[in-house]
Amino acid sequence: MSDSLLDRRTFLGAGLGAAAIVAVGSMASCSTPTAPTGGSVAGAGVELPSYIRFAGVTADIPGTDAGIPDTFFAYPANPQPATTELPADGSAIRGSVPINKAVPPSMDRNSYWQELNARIGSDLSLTITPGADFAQRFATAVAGDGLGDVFTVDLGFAQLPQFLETQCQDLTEYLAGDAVADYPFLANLPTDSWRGTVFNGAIYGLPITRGVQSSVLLYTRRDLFEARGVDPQPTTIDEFLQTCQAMTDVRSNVWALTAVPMSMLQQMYGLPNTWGVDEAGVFTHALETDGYKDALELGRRLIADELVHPDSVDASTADQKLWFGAGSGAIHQDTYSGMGSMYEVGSGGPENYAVGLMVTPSESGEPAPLWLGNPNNTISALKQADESRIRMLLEVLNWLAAPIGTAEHMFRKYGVEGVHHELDDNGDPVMTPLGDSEASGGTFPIEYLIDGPRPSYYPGRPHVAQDIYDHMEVVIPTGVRNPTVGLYSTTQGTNGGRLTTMANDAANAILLGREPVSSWDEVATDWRSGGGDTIRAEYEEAYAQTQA
Amino acid sequence: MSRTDSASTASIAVSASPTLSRAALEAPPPRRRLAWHARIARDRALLLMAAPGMLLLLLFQYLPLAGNIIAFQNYLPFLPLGQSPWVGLENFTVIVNGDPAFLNALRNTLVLTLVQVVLVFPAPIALALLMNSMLSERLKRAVQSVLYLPHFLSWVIVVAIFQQVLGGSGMLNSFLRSQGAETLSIIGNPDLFVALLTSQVMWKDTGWATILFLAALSQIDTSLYEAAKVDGASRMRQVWHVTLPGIRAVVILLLILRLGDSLTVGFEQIILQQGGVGLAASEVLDTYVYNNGIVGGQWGVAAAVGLVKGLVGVALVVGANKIAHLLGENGVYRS
Repeated sequence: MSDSLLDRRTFLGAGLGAAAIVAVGSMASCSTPTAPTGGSVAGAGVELPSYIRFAGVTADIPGTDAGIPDTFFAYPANPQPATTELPADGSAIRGSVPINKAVPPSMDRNSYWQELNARIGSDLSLTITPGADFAQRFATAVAGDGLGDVFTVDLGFAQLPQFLETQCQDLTEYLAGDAVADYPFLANLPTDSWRGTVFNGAIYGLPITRGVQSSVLLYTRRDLFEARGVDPQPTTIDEFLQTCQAMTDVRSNVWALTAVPMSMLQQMYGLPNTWGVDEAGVFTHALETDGYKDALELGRRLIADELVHPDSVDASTADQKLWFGAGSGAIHQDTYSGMGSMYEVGSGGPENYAVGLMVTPSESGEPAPLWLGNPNNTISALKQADESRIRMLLEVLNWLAAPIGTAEHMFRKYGVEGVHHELDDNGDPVMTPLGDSEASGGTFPIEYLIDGPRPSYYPGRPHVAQDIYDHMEVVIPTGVRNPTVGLYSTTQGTNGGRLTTMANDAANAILLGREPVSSWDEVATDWRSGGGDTIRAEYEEAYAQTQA
Repeated sequence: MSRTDSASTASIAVSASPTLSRAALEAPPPRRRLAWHARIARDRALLLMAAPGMLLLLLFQYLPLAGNIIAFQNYLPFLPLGQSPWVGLENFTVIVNGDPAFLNALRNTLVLTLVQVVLVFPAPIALALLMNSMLSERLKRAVQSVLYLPHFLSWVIVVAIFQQVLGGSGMLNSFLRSQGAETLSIIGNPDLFVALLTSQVMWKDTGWATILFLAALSQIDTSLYEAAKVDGASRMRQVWHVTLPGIRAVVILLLILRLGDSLTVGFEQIILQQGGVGLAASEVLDTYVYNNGIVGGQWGVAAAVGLVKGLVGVALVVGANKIAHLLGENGVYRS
């Protein structure tokens, strides 16, 4: 079996399967719900890096403690350098990263990359692997010791804690507590994100932070809703069904939903965010609750009433997103950070193409509690080395984490003005074709080694940042956490994937009408005896340690 | 090396007691063994030509065989090979402990194998016979090219094409919908899954598989057909008495080789279409290994099942070859 075969599975796994139960997850792309596959057996004793906010830039709407990120309607004017020295020492640095776009031209043919090397002060050679193939690449590179000095970690890797402990650098002494102050841009990363970097009681990684932006929601094609005169904001589940019916026209190959948004259906019924925990520290998985059967029943009905694109089950999320862009689906489940791509898929669409954000309806008509996504997309780690090399690499990563509004950030994301981007009247960078290819249109994959706190900023689309802010203002206060974020369960690592495949398969059979909803009880029982109970016990134990 | 030379070495190499004396009589007396460097000097051109292929075989087929030791380990990829904990035969227990999911995968695999040997294997023979009877050489070439093409499409593309034509929003169902008719559930229908897989395999590879049969057909002496015609044989009788016996050796050879990977039934093709039809209908050994071994990082289990599959394949090839020899056929090699 070649790698590529397996990869397509990973890729396709993001179809209804993964959407059905947001629990698997390896390397999630920025627009796939990130997976709460684990974190660590609590930071027993380890002190997380102190949070020292970078004060150099003020947002148009500053972020809130509840988690709404800094909102910018335009790029802060006159970005100034925030560092004075080259971070690297001239020795070559090797790394491995995934990418969720086309792989950019290699270093020798890439003026952006060469300029990046000049500004870092070392050649940064990266092995860039398409995101769908990254899990396989990671596993083989681990076996062949080919990941380099600094690399993105596949959080779905089965023996992650052992791997980190034996092969990767323990960063605790460099970053714990106030030690992180040596690296001001790393200190600017939120505390919540650092929790996910703790394994075996030590800091083993750096967070690729997303904050609340990895939370999933329902996107709507606002222009299509307007054209049909349908209100894109149903408040109850019944209204949601009516909305879907009004947006479906099978004879013209138009369906309301690109796929069954299983995550959102669970939220409509107020289910725990994959896992829930009560006062006594007892964990319950969403699939064990009665509400899960309500969600399945609703999903089954959506398919039976032909309100869902008929090819959604075996389609990739990328395909489903294209249907949304092409208008054969009007409602699509994705993360906040997928917003940019919601507009990208519509670039060839109608002039008035517009994307709205639905406040999730509920049984009562109040906004459904939002499942907060994993605060990290993933983490990156460093190969073991001596202290001076580690400090040098941390300097480079610190430089790469410079936040929005600094000259470092402006270059890192958008390249050189006049070459990779031009500034429009609003002061926003507009990528040139060269910048689109060489700097990956503003998402060069160094953003998977480290990234600053992710702002809500959409160059050239200030109204989008406003739309997101308005949506977040309503739903973020309702947010529910997944209590397993920051905890690690060994059985989840080794057995979780199999259990998820089994549960997804059973859920699909019900959604597609092959099995009755009542068959789910047996699935939940099998899930418990097949390893679910062990996973629960491990999470409960780890959770108890954090509470102690 | 002359023809007689090679024949004599071949017979000596397999010298069983009774034939030895006869071979010794017929062949020139056994050559004095040449020194190895002299033999290399003599065969250097042949050896050089074979070297790249041998090197590839060694690097990518024989060396990786050593990696099978992980079937006996709790393999941890970040430890050097051989340092992972040894667990004996524990990884093999999945095969014998009666796991219903494994048995389901085995059953699906055997059904697919049977269907593919019965339906897919003869298809290129029939197609080759059809093409062979085409008179216009130019037309035949054109048809061949068209039939070969699908072989070069990857499974992702083939599956996508079938989806575009037969899927829920595909051509067929869009047409039915526009006519106000009921749509047909073809893709994602567990009852039709075996038929769907089989038709995809046939569409993709039947044309390509005709190549060897066409080559064999072109080797048949045309005077045999003329003789049969003179004796008043009809077209069908010519096919039965001349054509089929003429390609029998190739058919048997390919059938035996096919048995070698009979437990491998299109991993990529199946995993791409597994979501809609569900695991009960679509899980085969390869996807079982993927879903249970590789997804959870259980590399040892994955290797163990792969090893057993390989051994079963070898046993089937050797066994079938033996039967072929007993029936007086050449099989994979001359006995």
